[in-house]
Amino acid sequence: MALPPEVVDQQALERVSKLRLVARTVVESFVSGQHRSVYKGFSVEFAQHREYSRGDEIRHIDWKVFGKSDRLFVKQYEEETNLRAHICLDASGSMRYAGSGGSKFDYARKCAAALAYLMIGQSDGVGLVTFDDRIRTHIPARSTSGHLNTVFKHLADTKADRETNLAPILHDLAGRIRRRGLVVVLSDFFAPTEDLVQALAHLHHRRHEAILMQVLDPREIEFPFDEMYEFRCLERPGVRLRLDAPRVAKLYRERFAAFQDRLREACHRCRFDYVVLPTDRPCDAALAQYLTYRQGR
Amino acid sequence: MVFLNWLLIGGLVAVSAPVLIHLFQRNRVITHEWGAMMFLEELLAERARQIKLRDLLIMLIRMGILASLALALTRPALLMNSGARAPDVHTSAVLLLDDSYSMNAGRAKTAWQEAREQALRYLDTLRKGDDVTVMFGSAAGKGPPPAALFDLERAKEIVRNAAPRHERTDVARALSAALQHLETRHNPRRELLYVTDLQAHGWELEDGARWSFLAGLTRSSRIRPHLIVASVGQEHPSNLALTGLTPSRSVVDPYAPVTFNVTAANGGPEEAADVAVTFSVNGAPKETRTVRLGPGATESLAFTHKFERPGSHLVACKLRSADDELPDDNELLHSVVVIDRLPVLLVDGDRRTQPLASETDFLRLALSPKDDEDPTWRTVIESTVVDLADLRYAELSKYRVVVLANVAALPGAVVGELERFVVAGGGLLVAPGDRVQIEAYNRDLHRNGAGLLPVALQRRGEPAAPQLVRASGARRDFVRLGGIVTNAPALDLFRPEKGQDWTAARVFEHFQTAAPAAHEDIRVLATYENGDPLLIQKTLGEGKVFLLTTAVDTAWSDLPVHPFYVPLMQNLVLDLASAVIPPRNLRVGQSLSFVATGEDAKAAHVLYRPQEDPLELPARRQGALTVFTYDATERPGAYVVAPEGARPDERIQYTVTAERSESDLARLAPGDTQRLTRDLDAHFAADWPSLAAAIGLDGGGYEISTWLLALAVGLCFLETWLLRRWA
Repeated sequence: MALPPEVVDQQALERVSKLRLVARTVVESFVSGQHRSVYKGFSVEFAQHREYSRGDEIRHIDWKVFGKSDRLFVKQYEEETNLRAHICLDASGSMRYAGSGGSKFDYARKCAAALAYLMIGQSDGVGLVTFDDRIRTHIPARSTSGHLNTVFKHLADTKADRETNLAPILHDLAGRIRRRGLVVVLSDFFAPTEDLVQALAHLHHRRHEAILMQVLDPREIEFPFDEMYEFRCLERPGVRLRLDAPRVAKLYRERFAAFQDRLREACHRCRFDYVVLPTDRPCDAALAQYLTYRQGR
Repeated sequence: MVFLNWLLIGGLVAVSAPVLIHLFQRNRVITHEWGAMMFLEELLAERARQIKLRDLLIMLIRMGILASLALALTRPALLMNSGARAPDVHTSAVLLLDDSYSMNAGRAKTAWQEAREQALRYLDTLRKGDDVTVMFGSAAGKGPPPAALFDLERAKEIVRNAAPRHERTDVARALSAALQHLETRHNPRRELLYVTDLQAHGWELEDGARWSFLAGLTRSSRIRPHLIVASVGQEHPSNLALTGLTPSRSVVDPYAPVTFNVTAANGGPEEAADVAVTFSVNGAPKETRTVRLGPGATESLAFTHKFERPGSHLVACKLRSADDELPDDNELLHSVVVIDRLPVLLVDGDRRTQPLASETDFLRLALSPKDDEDPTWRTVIESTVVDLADLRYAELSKYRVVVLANVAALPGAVVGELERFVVAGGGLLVAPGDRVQIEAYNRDLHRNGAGLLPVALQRRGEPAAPQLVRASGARRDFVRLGGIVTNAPALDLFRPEKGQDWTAARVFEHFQTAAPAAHEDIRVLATYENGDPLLIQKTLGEGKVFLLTTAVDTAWSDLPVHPFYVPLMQNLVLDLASAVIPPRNLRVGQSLSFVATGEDAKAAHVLYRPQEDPLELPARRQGALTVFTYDATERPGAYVVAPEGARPDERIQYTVTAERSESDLARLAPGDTQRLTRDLDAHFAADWPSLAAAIGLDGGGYEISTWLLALAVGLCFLETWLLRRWA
């Protein structure tokens, strides 16, 4: 399958594909058939009966049990499932920030493509959600190879713009994704942490597993400016701040570290993974390190 | 508060530098598109006010640093008590010493010796860091002031080596120069100590404008100086002096005796008896007289002498008295030039062949009367008569005086020659008549005041004709000669006390003139009885011009028939010829010059000076002339210039005389000192204790430059500390 070069770092994808994304959850796994799913679906192996309720398909009624007990039961089958993951890509204006090299959005997009490629390669279902202040694209999770093209196409077409409104997005996703799955969020998470903590708790409540991949430019972490700067907001045109950068650098770094600490703490409580991806580090190396770490757990 | 270096007050502009840098930096921002805006917004929401306050504080501190440094450079001083010295305040002082020759007065100790002691004691009161300028009254204000000295020993050396000069002191000028110099000094306390004998003459207190100016000068000073006048010398000194020695004739010849009028004065409070005055010629005493001089009295003595030979002679008068505190003014010298011929050129504008019909006939007879039997008629004047046509060929440099008698008009070239002749020291007598063309005279000779004529000739009535003034319109009506308006040697004989009466003469016609310009070079010497000018003098260069407004023959007056006509005309010519060029009777400081021509110029010329070794004079060429000059005539006395190998009678005598007004040793009256104390805020100190009290030794003020520098350093530390704390 040929990948659009502007979307996929071919070399990175090849290196990433050698790794296996091993789900931490008990119900889903990277490798097809390696794990039994806890989900009861409609597959070939019978699991148990359940009393008929209105709306169930008539073809699933076990007429034998009805004949014996005069009660309506439907048959449930044990289903063999793969991982169903949703990759959520932040396409807000702040992701356009390109401090020293490429933008955070490009970096995140490459990571998203790499993950999609990897997971579909192991027959896992992959969905794509792009958002800024609202959900712009929601492609349900599928595992077909043709679906990967759809994901790549949407990734290539997506442009970063507008403000971030991450917490409502995560709340929305927690509701939309009915089946338990993996939610990978690629974002800078520049949003109020109180709301984010709530949204993550919502995801956790819906028994989703989440990986928060925070894509950051090194300048956003270090704030290395040493002159008078006028900072112009990437999300809100017209908003600008003029300040003597060295005078606020230390405070900024303190604030930023505290923000990351709160985010890390929230992930820890929900048993989510929190990964910082600096854009000055090749995304293949960063993903490989993380997946190796995850595989080893 | 005063600023000692107030010129640097402009440095305070530097205070604006932090503000300007801030404004400049505001415009030099780097624009950066930024994603993590939420953190900056949070920061600013919390700290914006704090950051602004800190920035403002830092800016104020930096402005304070610059302001402190700039102010420190201006050397501000707080003056607590302006009347006295303080231990931590430095003084800029001017020590002004009266070095006029009256300071030599005194018996056991001269005023100068007392002044030197006071000055040295005063210098001992100055400390390291003080500066003092030693000025002398005779030189103060005549050139740039001497340098201020921080080396007090050097100042003492100057005082020790100084001596009174033979000049007078213009006190107002000297004080003005000292005050102006003091204004340029830098220490916060200013003192001007004037050590003087308080001789009233030099103060000229009657000239109120000058002292008002001085009072204004002290009031407008940035730091008001402490003016202290230390008086030295006797309160009532006795002094006898010769104050004048003048010859009765400006031109001396070997044919007639000349009288020298000598004035002796007693400026002391007591009568002086047996005052001997000796008259000498060329070093040989001729006559001695004894006079008695009451207190404040003057006595005139006349010594008559007839010089036997032409040439340069030295006349000396010397006074001797037992009771005299200032002997320097007891001698007066005068250099006399005795001539044996005085060539005069008479230009006749109306020459005729009949006897006594030409314009200059009477004049020629009057100037050079011929009577071999009677030697009293002998004169040095040698007249040469030419008409106008011959004038252009005459060599004017051969004559001492030129007379224009009824000359109609002069060619331009001749006018130029005559102007050069007068400027170089020649004399010109203009006696117009009926032939005079007024327009030509006014155009060529008056030239709107720039020419030879002292005034323009006026015409009245018919414009084409000369104005003939008649007392009542009748032809024989006349006007008589009037009085002498201005004393002049030429008319000395006709002063009322001399007994010569010229009012009998009648003038039938004369020219009216325009009013003389108010200029010191133009003077009306005599008038007619109706007030019209008779004789007007104009000084031009080294020579002079007389305009006689009537004719010198009998056409317009009967002057030639009166006995006074001869001496009048001779005196006019002698006065015109009186200029001795270069002058030989000099004042102290005036340059001595000797002009040689021909073979004489090639010889070396030696100058014999009083109490000094002979000196060979340097020669300087000026066209065809060789000029020998000596400028350092600081010592009064007789100077002699002699070509090498010259006989004694070929020596040229010069005299240098000190200012005689210094002989009046009367001191300022108590009322005068009170007035000066009031107007100038001056302190008068008669002795050292009162001088020390006037200087004062406590109180004073403080220069705060050091504090300001300390403040600047402190602010630097504060800024560094705050920046590190807030970083």
